[in-house]
Amino acid sequence: MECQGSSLEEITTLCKSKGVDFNITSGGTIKGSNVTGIPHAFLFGADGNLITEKGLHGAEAEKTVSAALKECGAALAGPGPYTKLAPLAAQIKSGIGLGSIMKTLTTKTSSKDATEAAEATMMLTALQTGAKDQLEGAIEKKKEDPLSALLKFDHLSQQFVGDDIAKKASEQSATMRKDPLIKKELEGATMWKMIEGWNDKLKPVKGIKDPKDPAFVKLNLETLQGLVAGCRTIIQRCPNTKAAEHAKEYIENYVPAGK
Amino acid sequence: MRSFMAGIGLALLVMCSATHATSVNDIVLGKREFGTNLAPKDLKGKVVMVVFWGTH
Repeated sequence: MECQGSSLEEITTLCKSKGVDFNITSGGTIKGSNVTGIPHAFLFGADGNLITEKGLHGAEAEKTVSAALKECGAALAGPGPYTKLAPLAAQIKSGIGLGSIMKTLTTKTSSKDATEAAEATMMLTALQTGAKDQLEGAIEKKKEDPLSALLKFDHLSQQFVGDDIAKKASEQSATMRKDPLIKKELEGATMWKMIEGWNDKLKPVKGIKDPKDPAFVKLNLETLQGLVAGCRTIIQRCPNTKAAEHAKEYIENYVPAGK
Repeated sequence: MRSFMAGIGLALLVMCSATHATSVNDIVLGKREFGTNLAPKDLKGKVVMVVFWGTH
């Protein structure tokens, strides 16, 4: 997303000279994001959730993106090539109803048609491995990033409904939701989402939301003060949560403006 | 001002506890400048990287 108001000609010239083969837009945004400098990247997983907006540079970015791609429907189907079971591979790519696809594949592994049986075995193995890796990855993430882990468990429990993976993911989710610390994380996340919504309403000056710009501060003073007050409420009510971390960072950026 | 801040505090206290996190649904694509046309539905089920950048 180009955000310096460059002309179409400037953008096109630069993209062609760099051999860009991805999409460039202008005037776009991510609701609730707090971009105060560029470049600033956001990575979303195949499940639709934000993976990170930090460390998306160089080798670390490559590692993070590679890990995310493994969870993509296209990767879950395995390398193929598939001929007899191509429609099932396409269904897997959609990422929906994977539990029932696993059941179908299990039946087809004992097909009298040798090609079909071989393809079913390959596809089923890839799907089972991918699902298991995702479940184990979420379990490992429980301490470090409980909210992401919880979202992953919920996603897996829907995506693989009818399979044991969904059952295990659902159990993990239910256990986590009983944990008082997780309840606080959820409460904090909901409150933070609201802060993000209000943050979106800040009016930019010359297209930029710069808390160090006196004109921006003057224009948004009341909202900024309210946002800082909201952040302080989160820190107080949900200490040691991700939301409190975000709130502290937010205050560090905006307190000179909204104290 | 005070009432506005009290309003924020109150709103934060009474919210429900559903899971909310930033997702691809929060992406507003904007105007296409280069490459193919993308619709929000094209982002579903895919790994998506969004970079805010500038030519200058």
